[in-house]
Amino acid sequence: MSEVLTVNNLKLYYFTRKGVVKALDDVSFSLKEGETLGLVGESGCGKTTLGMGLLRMPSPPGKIVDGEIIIDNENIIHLKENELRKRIRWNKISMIFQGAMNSLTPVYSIKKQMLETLLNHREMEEEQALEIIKKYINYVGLSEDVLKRYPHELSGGMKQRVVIATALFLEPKIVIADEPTTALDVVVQAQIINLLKKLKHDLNLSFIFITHDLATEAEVADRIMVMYAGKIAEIGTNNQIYGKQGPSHPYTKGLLGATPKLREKVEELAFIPGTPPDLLNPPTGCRFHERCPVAFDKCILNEPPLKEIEPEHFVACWRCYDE
Amino acid sequence: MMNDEIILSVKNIKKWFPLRRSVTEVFKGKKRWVKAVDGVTFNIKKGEIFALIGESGCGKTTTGRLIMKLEELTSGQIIFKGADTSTLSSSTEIKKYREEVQMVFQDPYASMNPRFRVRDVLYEPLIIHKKTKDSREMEKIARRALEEVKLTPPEEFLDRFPHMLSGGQRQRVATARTLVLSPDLIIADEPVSMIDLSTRAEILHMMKEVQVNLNLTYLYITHDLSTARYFCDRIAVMYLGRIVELGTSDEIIENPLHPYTKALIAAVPEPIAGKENIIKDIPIKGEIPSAANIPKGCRFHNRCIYSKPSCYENVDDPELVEESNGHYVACYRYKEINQESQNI
Amino acid sequence: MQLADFWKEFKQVKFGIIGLIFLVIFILITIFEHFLIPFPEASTRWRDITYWEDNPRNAPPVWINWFTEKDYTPTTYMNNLEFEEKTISPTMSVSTAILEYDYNYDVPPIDLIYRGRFKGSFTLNIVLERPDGNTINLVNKNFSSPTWKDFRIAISNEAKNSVQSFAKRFQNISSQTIKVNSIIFSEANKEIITNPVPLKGTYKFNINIIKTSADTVIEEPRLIFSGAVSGILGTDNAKRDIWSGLIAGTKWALFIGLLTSAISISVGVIYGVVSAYYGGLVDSIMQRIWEIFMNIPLLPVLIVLSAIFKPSIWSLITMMCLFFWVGPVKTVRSMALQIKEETYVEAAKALGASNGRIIFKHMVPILIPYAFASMALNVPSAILYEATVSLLGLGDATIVTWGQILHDAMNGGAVTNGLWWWVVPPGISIALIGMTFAFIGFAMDTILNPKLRTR
Repeated sequence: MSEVLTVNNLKLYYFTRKGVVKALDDVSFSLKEGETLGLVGESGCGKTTLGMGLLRMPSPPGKIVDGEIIIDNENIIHLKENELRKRIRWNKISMIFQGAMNSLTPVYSIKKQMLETLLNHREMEEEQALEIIKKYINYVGLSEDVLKRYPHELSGGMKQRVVIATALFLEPKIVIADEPTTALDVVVQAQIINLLKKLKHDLNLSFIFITHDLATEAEVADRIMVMYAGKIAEIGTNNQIYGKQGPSHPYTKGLLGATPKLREKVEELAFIPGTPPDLLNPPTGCRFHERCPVAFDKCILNEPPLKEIEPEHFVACWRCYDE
Repeated sequence: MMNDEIILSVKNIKKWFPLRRSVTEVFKGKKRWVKAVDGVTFNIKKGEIFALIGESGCGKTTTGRLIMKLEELTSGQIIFKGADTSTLSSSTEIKKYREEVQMVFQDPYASMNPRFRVRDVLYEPLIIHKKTKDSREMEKIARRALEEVKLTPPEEFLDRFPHMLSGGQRQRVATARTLVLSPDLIIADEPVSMIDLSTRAEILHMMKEVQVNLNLTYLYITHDLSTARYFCDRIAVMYLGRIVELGTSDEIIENPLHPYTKALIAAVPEPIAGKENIIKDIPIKGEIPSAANIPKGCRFHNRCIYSKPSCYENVDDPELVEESNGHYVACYRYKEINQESQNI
Repeated sequence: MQLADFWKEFKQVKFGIIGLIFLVIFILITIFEHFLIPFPEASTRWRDITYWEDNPRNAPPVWINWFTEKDYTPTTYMNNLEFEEKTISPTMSVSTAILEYDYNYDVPPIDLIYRGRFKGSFTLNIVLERPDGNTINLVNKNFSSPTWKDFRIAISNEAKNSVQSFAKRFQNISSQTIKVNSIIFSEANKEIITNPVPLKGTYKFNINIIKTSADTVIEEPRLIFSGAVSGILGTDNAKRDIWSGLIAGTKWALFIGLLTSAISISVGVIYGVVSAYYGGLVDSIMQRIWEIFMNIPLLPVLIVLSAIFKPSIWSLITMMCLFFWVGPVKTVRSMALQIKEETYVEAAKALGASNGRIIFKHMVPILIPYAFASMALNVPSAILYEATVSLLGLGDATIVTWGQILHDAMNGGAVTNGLWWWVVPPGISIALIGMTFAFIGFAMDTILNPKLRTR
């Protein structure tokens, strides 16, 4: 499978009045065609920043300081803004924002909003645009009369489907979904996840699925990338992370231990003591060492690099490299 | 720890909110209601952790607010420690009730006045209930509450503002606030849903310890089945204003009888390998109807994959029926459905 | 919050310090007013023309001499004149004082005034010896009164004839209006009337008081040079010393501004919060009442009331409070409606907090920054409103305020006549006091709003 997205040594810093927050600090990974890469981490780990960064839309005062983002063999780091808008955003890579269903404008009909977005990106006749919109509305399991309605008339699940349709109708190859199911009820969540899987299969899309919930991630992602404090802790396949063997990185282990499993009777839920570090002054060495149950002196002094410990399985932890 | 003494008894409570009517409807004399809670009955035993589970709009939060007397009952009774709460008339009686029944809210930041220090947050219940005028006495009580929720050393936290605390710390302070008056029943409305995953278990662990130490009873309101199974003794599943199934956590999860419960359980994601390409089967149809337009008969029938005309023609909502020891279900066809799934 | 904590915080905010410094300056001015101004009774006697009669009219401040080519004579008071007494006969005596006056200016004083109190009868004789040797008999006048009486001589009036004859000796022009003081202090040449050149040097004024009855007593005799420039901030068209008026008006500005805005904003904020909190019928009624007050025009009401009551600053402040409270209500109400929905308000209710506690402990404190900002903006409004009212004759005639000075300036043609010293100082003062309260308000918000703290 070819790679549709390659990120090399990406650094995104927020230049605040209090100092420089190193939200993304040397992140490298790739996304293969037709796969869902799950991006998992807690609040403040940098996953939303990474999503926005991939579209080159860091929220101010954020700036991409270094690195490469290669989409379709093109490094988009240095492209001009109007190039990005014309060719890249929504054409090659689109995004379903966190809470997007709540950012549908309440005063315009669904049809008007979708038309506006579509026509902003492609020159075409309104009739043609409408056809495309209807096609994708149907794709996401909605009937066409949704188009006549206003956002407040739709349920949360329906709104989210509208947002998904909007992210797809320009047929990008890569879709970033930032917590697409977090605000939804559990039944609707499952339905939306089913929908995303179907779309991935039918349209051969590549997804980056961002969430803080390891359970949801297990049900969607082919590969999982765990982030902590602006850095990648572990990348592995679904089986490597969730399978019998279990993950390697102590943080991933801790997170998995803290995730309640419905069908398994759990006596004690694990937790990770402490809180994520302040990225204004990140700790020395491995950023997780203050909360890690197996940290030793090397962890405090040196930052562990991301190393492949078995095919497709990368870890950044001194304890995990068996030489 | 958990005996059979019942501390809270909720009997067929209803809360109907009036809906604005169009002019023609006013003339026709029609009234429209949003039936948020529509006939809910359950008991909570002293010392247990009881969960109300459901999706948004099922009425679980409204039920909690009714018990807290933040809303008035449309009909029904709430009996706390043997006394009917709707007959509480004098302000002293109502104030006593508020001492004994406390609430922990979902948003740990929003539930505390941002201009109050932790100290002020903890003193407030003491001041309102005029427990003591001595500030040293109040500080002692506040310290003890902070120690109970493991915010130690207390000095470090007493003078902080909420925005200087992490989400988990704030929720501990919110819990400490409920403890200051030595309550009997605490209603926790989604207390960990806005807290980081890795800290959730820590907060729940603390809450469980507090419960054991102080002999408290919890009503835990949530949409998260997994956490509820871990944390709670008994679960009541709500749908569109009524309880559809009730039983111990293990029973409900391992042996669900109501189709809605089955659908919920099927929908919950689990951190298990190998599911990334499987389209999950979720045994439910359609969307949740509005509480202003509740379907006739069994209100779940239009989403139920097992429904037959006998579920909705000329019948009311099914009542809760005891299947086995402590396991109740409100479904006309649950026995047949169970047979069908076993035969499969 | 403890006061000690509060002060520690306040010290760290620069705006607050600047505001506080100015406030302290204003308060000090109020306290030490008596020592700061040459006319201590400025406030109570602002409209008494006799109090100001010795000043020149529309005179610029004395310090403009530093910036102008020509030097203008400043107003000078000669209070201590040493008299030598010589008895001539049992009933007559002569007191003589010689006043030496160094004149080094280009523009002569507007007038020379000699005044005092007396009882009895005397003749006043003033002879001037100019530096060029010429003498002029300026004054020769009789005064008589059995009871105590003030006497006052203005040279510009009294010496007209003698000065005119003096001038004619050098420039023979048919009499037209002559400037008495100009001639007195100019070179005696052919153009003494039409194009006078200042004669600089020492002038000697021989003041002879010839007492014509034995029991004549003269008290507080003083000579006043009513200058071409006068005072720290000049004079207005009613000859009033503006510096005195400004300083005297400080206390009224503080008083009117602070009291009116404090009371009206407090009432308005509480009104808005209570209205929003109770909602429903209470809210509706309260808002209808608000609308009534909002739409009543205050000025006609004041006019009507003044027909019944004598206007005083107290009644004015009362009326302003009675109507100004409407200002913040709508904004506060909408803010309160939002605060009412906050979870912590619900949590307080769940704890059993009384309505009063929720309103005053949870809702009003959030509005304090807005309240202070409103107060800051209201202070200048109150001051100017009072001025408008004063103009209509409804103001308190017993005091002087900055607003009144401004209004007199506008009406006295200060702008068209370039009398900047009349307009600019009161304007700046009003702006400064507004700025003071705005800064203090910003500082208080920074402290009282914990999220803005940098700690």
